[in-house]
Amino acid sequence: MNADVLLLTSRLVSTEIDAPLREALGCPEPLEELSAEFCRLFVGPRPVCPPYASVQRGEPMVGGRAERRLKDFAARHGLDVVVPPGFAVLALDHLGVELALLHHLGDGPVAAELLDDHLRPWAPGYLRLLEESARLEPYVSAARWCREELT
Amino acid sequence: MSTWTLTRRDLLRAAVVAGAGAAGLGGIEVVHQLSASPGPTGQTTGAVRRVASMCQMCTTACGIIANVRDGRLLTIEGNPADPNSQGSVCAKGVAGPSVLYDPNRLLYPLKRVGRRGEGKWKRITWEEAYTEIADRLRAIRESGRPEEFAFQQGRNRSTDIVARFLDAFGTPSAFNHRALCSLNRRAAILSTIGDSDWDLGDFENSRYILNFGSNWAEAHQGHIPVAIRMMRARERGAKIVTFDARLSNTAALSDEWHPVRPGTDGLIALAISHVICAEELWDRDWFDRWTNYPAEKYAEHVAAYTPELAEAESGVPAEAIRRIAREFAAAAPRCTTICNRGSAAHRNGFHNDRAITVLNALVGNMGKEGGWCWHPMSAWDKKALPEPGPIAPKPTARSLIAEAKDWPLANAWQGNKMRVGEIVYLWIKERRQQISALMTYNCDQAWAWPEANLVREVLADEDLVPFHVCLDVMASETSNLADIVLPWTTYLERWDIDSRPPQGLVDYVGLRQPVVAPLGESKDLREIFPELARRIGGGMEEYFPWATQEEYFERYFAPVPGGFGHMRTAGVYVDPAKKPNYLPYEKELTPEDLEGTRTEDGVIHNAEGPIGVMVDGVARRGFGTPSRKVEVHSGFVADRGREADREISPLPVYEPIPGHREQLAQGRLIMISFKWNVHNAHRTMQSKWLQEISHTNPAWLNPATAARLGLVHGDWIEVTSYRPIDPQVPRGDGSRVGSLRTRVHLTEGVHPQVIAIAHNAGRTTGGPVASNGRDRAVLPGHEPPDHGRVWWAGSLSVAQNDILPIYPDPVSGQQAYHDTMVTVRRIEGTA
Ligand code: SF4
Repeated sequence: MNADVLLLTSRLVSTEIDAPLREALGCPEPLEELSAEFCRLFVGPRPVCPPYASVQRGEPMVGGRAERRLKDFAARHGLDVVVPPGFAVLALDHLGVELALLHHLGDGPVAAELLDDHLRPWAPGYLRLLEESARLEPYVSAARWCREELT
Repeated sequence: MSTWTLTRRDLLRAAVVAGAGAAGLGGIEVVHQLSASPGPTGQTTGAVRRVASMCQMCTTACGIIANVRDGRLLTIEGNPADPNSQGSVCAKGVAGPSVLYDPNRLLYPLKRVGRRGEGKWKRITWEEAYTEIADRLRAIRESGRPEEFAFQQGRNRSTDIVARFLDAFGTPSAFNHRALCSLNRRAAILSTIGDSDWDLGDFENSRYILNFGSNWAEAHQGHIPVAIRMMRARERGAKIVTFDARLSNTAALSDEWHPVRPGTDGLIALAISHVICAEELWDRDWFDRWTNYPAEKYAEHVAAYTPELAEAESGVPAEAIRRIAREFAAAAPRCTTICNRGSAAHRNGFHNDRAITVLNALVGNMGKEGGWCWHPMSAWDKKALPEPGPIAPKPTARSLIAEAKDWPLANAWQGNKMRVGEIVYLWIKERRQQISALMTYNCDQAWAWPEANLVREVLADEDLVPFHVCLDVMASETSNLADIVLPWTTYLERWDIDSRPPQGLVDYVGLRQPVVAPLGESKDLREIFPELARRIGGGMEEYFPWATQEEYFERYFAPVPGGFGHMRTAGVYVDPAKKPNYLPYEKELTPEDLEGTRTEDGVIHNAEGPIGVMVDGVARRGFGTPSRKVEVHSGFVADRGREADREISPLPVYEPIPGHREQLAQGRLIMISFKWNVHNAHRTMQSKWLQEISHTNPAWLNPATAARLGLVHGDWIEVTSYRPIDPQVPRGDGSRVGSLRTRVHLTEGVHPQVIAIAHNAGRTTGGPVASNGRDRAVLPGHEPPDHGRVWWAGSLSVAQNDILPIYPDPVSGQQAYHDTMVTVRRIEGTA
C-alpha cells in the first residue's frame, strides 16, 4: 500500500488545496480555480461526488449506518480521529477519514478489516466516479492511483 | 480540463505537505485512545435523549420530541404537552431527519467565482462572509438610504430577531409572503371583528362545520391542531360540509363535498345567508345587539343573492344550499365556518371571506362554545413575555414597495402590515425603488413566486440587484442567483420563542431548541445578525447586548415559572389560570376601565381610543372595531378605498371575476393550484422520504371536460395561461403569460371548469431528489451518484408558478392564485 497516495488523497478530498500544497504539486491553476473545483466535487451546492460512504451506498441521510459502523470499528480498536477546523468533513464515513485511518494502520489485520468492511464496499466505485467527474488535476490522478491501491 | 498531469514524482513532494497532519500540523489525525477499552461489536453506545422542541417543516409549529443518541437525531414524535398539536405530528414533521441530514444541504459559506447564476462557487470562511456583507451594508446605511437594503423572507418563525435587526439597521424594505398566502382572509376578519385576523372555530365542540376551501387535513397554517379537533368532532357526530373546486383529502374526510367554481365561495355564503334571513332561521337578537347593521337591512342586502343565482355561478345545486342553510342554522350556536385559500386567494377574496364571516354573525355563534371563535393573540402573550430590551425604534425611512399604496387594505392596520409580495420584483424591474443589497431568508422566490421567471430575470441582473446574499438550508433556484450563500441551520439546530394562534383558545408559549449541534458550518440568524450588527456598527450593536443566545432566552423566558429551565425540559408553557376566549365581547368594563372615558353614539372612548360599547345600558368590551361591534358594514374599508381611488363596498358582496364568464363561455378553463399532505414549500421537495411518497403533478381534469377537448387519461397537453382582463391589475391586458407541458389525470374529483395542478413540483435544482433526477449536477453522460436510488427519476414534475400571472386583488393586494384563465390543447410527445 502506497502511504503517500493514501495521505494525499485523504487530504485532497477533505479540504481545498492551499498555497504550499499547490506549490508542492506544481499545479498551474490559480488557487481560486482549484477551490471552485473542490467545491463542485465535494461541497456543492449539489456536490458531484459527495465523499461519504452513507451517501454513496444509498442512505438518504449523510452519516447514518455507515458512520455508526465506522465509529464502532474505531472504538473497538481504541482509535480516535481529529479533524482539523475548516475541513469539509461532516461525518466519519468521509473518505478522507477512512483513508487517514488506513494510512495510520499500515498493514495487518486491523487494516484488513477496515479495508474489507468499510472501504472496499464503496471506495473503488466512488474513486472511479471521481476520476471521471474531476476536471482538474491532481484530483484525476489521485483518484486513479488511490483506486489502484485499494483494489 | 487541464492539460497538466500529476506525476508520481510530484506525489512524493505533495505527500510531505499533505501529510504534515501525521505530525499534527494539518491533515486528519488519528490518535490512540489509551484509556479506551475495546467494546463488543454492534453495541449501541449512549442512551437516547428526548429533547422537546417545535417543528417547522411548515408554519404550524407543532410541539415535537426529538430522540437523539450520541449527538445524532434518530426520530421525531409529537409532544403531548403542546396544547395546540397535543402530541400529533404529520408526515412532514416525522421527516425532519431527512432534511437535517440531507446530502445536498448547504453547510459552508460560499461565494460565487463565476458570473451570477453560472454555478461556480468557492468556500469562504464566516469571517470573510461577515466582512464582505457588513462592508456592503454599512455603506448603504451610512449613505442615508437604509431602505436600499431589502430583506426577503419566506416563512419566518424568528420574527423577534429579524425585526430587531431590520429596525436597528433602519430599513423598512422588509418583504414577506403574506399577500401570496392569507392576506384576504386576515383583512376580512380584521375589518369585521377587529380583535384578531385569524378565526379559530371551536371545532371540537361544534356540531356543524362549513368549510369553504380550507385544506386543513393536508396543508393550512393550523394543519394538525385543526385536523385533530375536526376528526374528534366528527367522531362525536358533527357534520362537515366542504366546498372546494377539488376533492382534496380534506373534502374526502368531510361528510359532503360540493365542487364549486373558483371565486364563488362568497356567493354561496351570501345565498346561505339569503335562506337564513328569508326563513328567519337567524339569531336576530344577537345580530341586532352585536353588529353595526340591522338584521332587517342585511336581509334586504342578501335578498338578491338567491340560491338559484349561486347555483348558476358556482355549480352547487340551489336545493343543497337551502338544506345546508337550514342545517347550519339549526345547529347554532354550535356551528362554525372555516375558510382559507379556496375562498380567499381570489380577486374577490376579501368579499368572499367577509361574506363567510358575517354568516356566523347571522346565526349568533360568534365567540360561543362550538361556534366561530378567535383569540386576540396570534402568538404568545407579549405583555407577560415582553421582548428583552433595548428595542430599536421603527424605521423612519420609507419604502415604496413595502407601502404598496395602490392596494388600500394591504397595510391598513397598524401593527399588521401585510405588504404586496407578488409585485416586489416587478417593481424592482420597473425601477420604482432602488435596491443596493438584497438578503433572502428561507425563501425560494425564484421558484415559488407568481411569474417566477420574472423573479429570476431580476435576480440575475446585477444592475437591478447589485448584491444578493441568500441564507437557506438548501440550494435553491434563488440561492443559485446569489453572490454569497450562507448555510442556515435547520429548525432542529436552532433557537426560537414561538407559538401559533391557539386552537384551544388559551394562549401558550413554546421553545424551539437545538436538538443536535449545527451541522457543518451552518449558523442561525440569531448568531449572524448580532455579529453583523457589531461589524456594521453605528449604534446597531447596542441592540444586541447579550453574549449568547441562551442568555437572551434566559431573559425572555424569565417570567415563566421555572424560567428557561422549564422551557428546555417541557418545550411549552400554558398559564393554568387562563380560560378559553369565549364571549370576550360581553365582558363588562370595570369602574377603573371607565375612569375618564367619554361615550359617543354608544361607543366608550378613553384617551387612546374606543375601549367599549354600551349594550342595553351596560358598558361592555365589545369588539376591536371602530364601532366596537361586528362591522357587517365597514366604513373603515370604504374609507381606505376612497383614499386610494378604489371603490370598496362596505357590505359583503359578490363581485364576479372580471372576464371569467366570457372566457369560460369560449371554453377556457380556470387553473388552480394545490398542495399535497407531504409537501410544504421548496424545502420538503428536498426530503427523500417525502419525495418518495409524492413527486409528480399531472393536471387534474374532469372526464366531461376531457371528452369535450378530446383528451384521454395520460395524454400530453399544453396549458397556456393569460393575464387577467382587468384595468385594476398591473399589466391586466389579457395577454399570454406562458405555457407548460404536462399530462392529464382524469378524475371526477375536480370541477368541470377547472384544471388543477399541484404546485409542489418543478424544481430544477437542489439535487436529484428535489428535481426528480433533472438536476444531475455531474458531467453530461454520467449518472448522479444517487440517481439509481431515485427510483422516480424522470417522473413528470412541472413548475406551475412560472405561468401564474402576477395578479393582486385590487382591494387588498392578495395574489389571486385561483383565477388564472388557461387554454388546454393536446400535443404529441413529451415535455
Ligand atoms: S403540521 Fe407542520 S408543524 Fe405540524 S408536524 Fe406537520 S409539518 Fe410540522
